[in-house]
Amino acid sequence: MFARLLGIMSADMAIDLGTANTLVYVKGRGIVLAEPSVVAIADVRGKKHVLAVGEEAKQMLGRTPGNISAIRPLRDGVIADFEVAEEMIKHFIRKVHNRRRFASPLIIVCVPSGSTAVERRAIQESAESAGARKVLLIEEPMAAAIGAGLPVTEPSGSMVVDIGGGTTEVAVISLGGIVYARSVRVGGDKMDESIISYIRRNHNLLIGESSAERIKIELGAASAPYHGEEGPLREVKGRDLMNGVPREVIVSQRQIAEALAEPVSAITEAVTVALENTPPELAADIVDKGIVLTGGGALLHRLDQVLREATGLPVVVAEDPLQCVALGTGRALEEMKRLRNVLATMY
Amino acid sequence: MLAHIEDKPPETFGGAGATRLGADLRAARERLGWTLEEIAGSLRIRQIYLLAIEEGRVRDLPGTAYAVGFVRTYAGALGFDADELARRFRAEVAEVNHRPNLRFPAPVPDRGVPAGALVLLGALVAIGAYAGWYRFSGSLPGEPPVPAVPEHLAALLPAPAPPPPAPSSSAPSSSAPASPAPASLTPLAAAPAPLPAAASPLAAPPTAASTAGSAMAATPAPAIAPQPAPPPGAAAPAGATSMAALPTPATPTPTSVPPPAPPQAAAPVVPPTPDPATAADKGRILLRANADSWVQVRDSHGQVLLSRVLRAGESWPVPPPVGTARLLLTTGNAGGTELLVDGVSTPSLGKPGAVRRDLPLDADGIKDGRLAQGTPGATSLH
Repeated sequence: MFARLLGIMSADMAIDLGTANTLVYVKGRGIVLAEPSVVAIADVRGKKHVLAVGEEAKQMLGRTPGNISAIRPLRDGVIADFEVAEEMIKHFIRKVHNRRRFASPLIIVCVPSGSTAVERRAIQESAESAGARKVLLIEEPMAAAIGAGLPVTEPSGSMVVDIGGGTTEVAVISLGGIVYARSVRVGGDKMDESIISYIRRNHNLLIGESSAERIKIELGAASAPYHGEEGPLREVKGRDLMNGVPREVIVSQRQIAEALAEPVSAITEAVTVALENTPPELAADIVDKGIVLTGGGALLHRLDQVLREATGLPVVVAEDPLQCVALGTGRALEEMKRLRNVLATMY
Repeated sequence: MLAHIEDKPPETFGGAGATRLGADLRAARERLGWTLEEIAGSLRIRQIYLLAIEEGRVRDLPGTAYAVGFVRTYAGALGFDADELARRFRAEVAEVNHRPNLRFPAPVPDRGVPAGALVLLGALVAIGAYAGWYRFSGSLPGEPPVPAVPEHLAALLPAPAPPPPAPSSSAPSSSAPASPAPASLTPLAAAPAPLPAAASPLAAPPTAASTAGSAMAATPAPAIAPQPAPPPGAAAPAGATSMAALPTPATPTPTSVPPPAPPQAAAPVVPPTPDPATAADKGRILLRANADSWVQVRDSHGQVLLSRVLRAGESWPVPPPVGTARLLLTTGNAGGTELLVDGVSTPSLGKPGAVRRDLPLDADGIKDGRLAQGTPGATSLH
């Protein structure tokens, strides 16, 4: 009764709780918030206080003094630090409600298709303890497909590959349900790690996660440029492992493509394995329509081309790949009655 | 395949815009010197879809999301700005902007009685049940109850009366002057008689369960004559012919002789003997209610003469008992029930609301105030 009363005062939300970025969709308003999933916690005389959340906290990542820690509460698409995740969701709820008290919204959160029941329960409970009136879960590939505008309810197979920060979800969807889904824990974070280790190995330079991510966004490509070119060049700064002094090196797109070969091949393998497990009728539909890429990883240059060559199928990148999951979750929120089949709860 | 598609009239959507975009793509492709087949081979997009894009036939594309994706891929491959072309495509082809209508397959609802009809039916049944209950429970005070019982008794009485008109008519006249005590003794004296008779194996089969001693006298007169004689003791030597004759010395013996002569059924013969008593009791007792009280009057055979709520002020004349039967009164409101004997009110039966059971309704007992003593089981006759 009381919860319902609070519900009237609250704006229902759909949250794409991603490893790298969290997007918040508010009913009737669209995507209102897109911030990195980073929380900065300050330790003041043994008590922990949230110092910053989102973009501000991301600036602190790797640059914190001893009493401050910038934490990414999600790893591989699931909650790694329960309390910090709860604080982050609480912060987003407050931000959406303009710091108004007594907000108790209905929240739809998306979860990786490969997450275990324990991981899903952790996500649901953290949203509940953050003040949600009710929490519903939606599987990420379904949300991505809805957000990309795929005809998911038709009796025709659609394949969606959502490359997020922590996981890559490959799913075949037909008649409003997931026919086959495969989740591999390879995503943007793994690409960053690959870049870091590549530069350390080849240039004896240790760079931070943020620098690696910047290089990935600016230069990252799934395959080397054609005709033996080096492609665009970028300088990257870090600490020299040999003499320990800060140093700057120039990296080319070819080098970064080489560095990313391993995570890209993992994604390619996940797609081919999913295709192998697709029922023949749906495989026939996918031959016609192809594969849709969503998520931040879809922005990697020439990834569609690599997948096209690996699978022999048309591969297209969805519009606004970064927002697909949030848009799909938001649509599930807007049309909750109609799309209730794709929503679930752990209780 | 190509020829087949080109035969179809080009369906364009969004006016000339889509065709202009398609024409730009085609022009760029031709400028680069590529054929559709080459593009289809490198992009893995089916040739018919590429042709549909060039000709602006959006409906032939597998879906809006795919259509935009194909346009982006195709434009990118031809060196256009893919995002710009996709934006143009969206702007020019209105149909692409329609979100796909998601209609999830839902199971067909079970065909059953609709809930609304069930509720309506239930309400009707409930109303019907209430109406029925109201009709039958509320009708009791409405119907004329008082004349009903006397009529029923009257119908029972005259029937056996004709066969022995002489004794019945003569008996009251003779027994009227006599004290009520011997009159009430008659059924009692007759009652013990059948008990030993039933105990004797010889007499048991013909008597069955009939109570009257006169019946025994009627059927196996010689056999039973010595039998009933010993139990009554002093009464036995007076007359071995009939039991009924024994206790009433006032009644002439000739009248008691005729009953054995007509070998009738046991029942019709019964009334004549208690007749003197009933005649004496007739109309003597009046049951009156000072407050609403439930009363039941039944005879000792279990036949219920009255069972209802007497309203305040209502009265019910107690009919005379039939045969050996005694009338028993049960009242749910002893304080509200009053018994009048010969028009004279008697002491109260008990406190208001008290329940008294099986009070014997005989005029003398009531008059003596025995009922008021609160000993319902005690009768003046034992």
